Amino acid sequence: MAVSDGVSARGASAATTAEETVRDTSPTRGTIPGGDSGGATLATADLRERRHTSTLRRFVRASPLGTVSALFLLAGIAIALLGPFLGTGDPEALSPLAMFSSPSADLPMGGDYLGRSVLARLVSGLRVSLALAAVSALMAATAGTFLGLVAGYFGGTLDELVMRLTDVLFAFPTILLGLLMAVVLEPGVRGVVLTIIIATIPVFARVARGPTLAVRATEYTTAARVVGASPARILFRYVLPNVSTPLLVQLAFTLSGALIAEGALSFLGLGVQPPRPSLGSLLRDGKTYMEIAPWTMLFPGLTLALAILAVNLLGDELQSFTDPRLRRR
Amino acid sequence: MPRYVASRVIMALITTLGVATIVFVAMRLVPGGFAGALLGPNAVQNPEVVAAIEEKYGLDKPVIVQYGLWLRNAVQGDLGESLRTRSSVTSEIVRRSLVTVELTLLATLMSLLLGVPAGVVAALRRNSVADTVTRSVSLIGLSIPDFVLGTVLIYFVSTRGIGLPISGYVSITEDLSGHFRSMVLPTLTLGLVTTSVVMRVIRSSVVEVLGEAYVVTARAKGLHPRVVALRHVVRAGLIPTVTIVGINMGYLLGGAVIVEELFSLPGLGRYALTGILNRDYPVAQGAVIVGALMFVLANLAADVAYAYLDPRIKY
Repeated sequence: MAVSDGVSARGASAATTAEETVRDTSPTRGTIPGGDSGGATLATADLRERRHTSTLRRFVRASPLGTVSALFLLAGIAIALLGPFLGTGDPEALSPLAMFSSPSADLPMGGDYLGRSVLARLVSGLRVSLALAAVSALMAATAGTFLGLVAGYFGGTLDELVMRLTDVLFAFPTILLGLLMAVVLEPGVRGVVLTIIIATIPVFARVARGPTLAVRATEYTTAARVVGASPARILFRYVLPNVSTPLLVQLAFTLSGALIAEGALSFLGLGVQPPRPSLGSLLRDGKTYMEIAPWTMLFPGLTLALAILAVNLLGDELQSFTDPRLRRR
Repeated sequence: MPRYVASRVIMALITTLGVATIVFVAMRLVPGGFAGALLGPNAVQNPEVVAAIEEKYGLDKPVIVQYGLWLRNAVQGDLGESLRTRSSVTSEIVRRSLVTVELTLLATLMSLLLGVPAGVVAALRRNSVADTVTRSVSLIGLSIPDFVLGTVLIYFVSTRGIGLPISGYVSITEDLSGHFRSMVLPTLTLGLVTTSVVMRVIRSSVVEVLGEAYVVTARAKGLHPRVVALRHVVRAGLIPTVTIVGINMGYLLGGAVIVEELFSLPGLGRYALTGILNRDYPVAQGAVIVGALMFVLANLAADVAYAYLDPRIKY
């Protein structure tokens, strides 16, 4: 549940996790339709390709809302990546005449307190925010999944240790963690990245561990072990594919949590520092001048909310698409 | 049951110790060292003061001894004094916690009053208009971060001439109605996300209960649908509320930092933030520890309450 603790990303996410841990007793949870056991030998590259396409097609057919969100997100990512080539102008160019100018043909989103183009800064800020959120979420997801797999598979003291550690980390609401990071490091990007990573690792460790326990007990895992497969091979070849579905859903919620965390910390002045734009620092700047130039605050706020909405929607739709028990509802 | 409660209390103690350890390690990593962090750049020039702090925390002793001394001081309620005001961090925290606790309670109240009925109705009339509206509202609510909502609320209230205070805190002893008026916008800002979470969780929990065998039985034996809904479904479906209130506390305590800053409320979160921005390390350390502690306690209370409410839990 990454929705808002991520900052709060975690609130929502946390709720999801809680729900999931309650339900996770079912051994079938998270297994890919069709299973992986027999498929491994049969699946040539070609077959795998076809299966992949049909899953994508089924998702598009089953969930128009999820598809729209995914397209919207892709568009946002494209805008962020192509930013410098879109002709939205230089985000740092000052023009005193455009100071606080309201949106016009020239400056579609108006000018800020230094006369910089709000649109140009928004595009540039979107890139910073998306990159920060995506990179830290992915790193944390990888590390957390690895921890959860290893803890769940080997069990014993290691498992106990990892789970107690996640308990402790869960005791820090994301923002509080961000505050702690800002105490130790200077307020800045490093603190934001570390905060997101530390807040996310325990979530993935837990999500990965549950199904790993179930998969560990299956006959095909035992068979692999009997044949002499190494733990690493068993984990990555048999266990990981079978736990990947809940992890994918969690990744979506984590991403929205990371976006909120970056926004909140930068908004508080503990994250991305001006003059560098990010959605959070733009909003912080805009807040100061909201009565003279509301567009400097409304556009970044709206962009952030829409981005988070799209990620949450996609996560929701993925979840009900991949969990057959939710599909009935 | 007592065994379960005891095990939860022990777990909470272990977690608390872990939290303290992390904060302890963090404070040792502060640029300028621990003594510098506690004394500030000026006092650290004075050898007598430095000697006193080294004595108190045994800074010449092994780290494990330092940890013990630090922990002993913290447990005794001595969190040091502010570098700026020289006031006791503990007494400041006690005073400011009241504001934060009230804010989180008001937001929780809002989320329960709005979220529970909406979630129940949505679940009982699945796929109706009410359900669609509830689900959309909660998804949108989850997607508007508190700092965006708060900023937009301030903008509208201040430009449309709506008569609500957008900044500042009125003490409850000073002016009762003024106090609650000053809490309206902060509560709305903080409560939206938790309200959305409660709606979603209650809805899915009630939907799950609707599929239980005993509900089918109750229906099959001819009970009035309303009786089934009220006596069998809703009662069981509301149990997760307790857990969700506990989990939401984490979000609320973090969100309180933002809301208190946004609306200038003298709470714990704003205390921590000012402490950090002023490099007032004892303040930051104390506020972070107490914030994490509150969260641990809220979750402990939620776990215990859950065990009382759900007879299936036996340990």
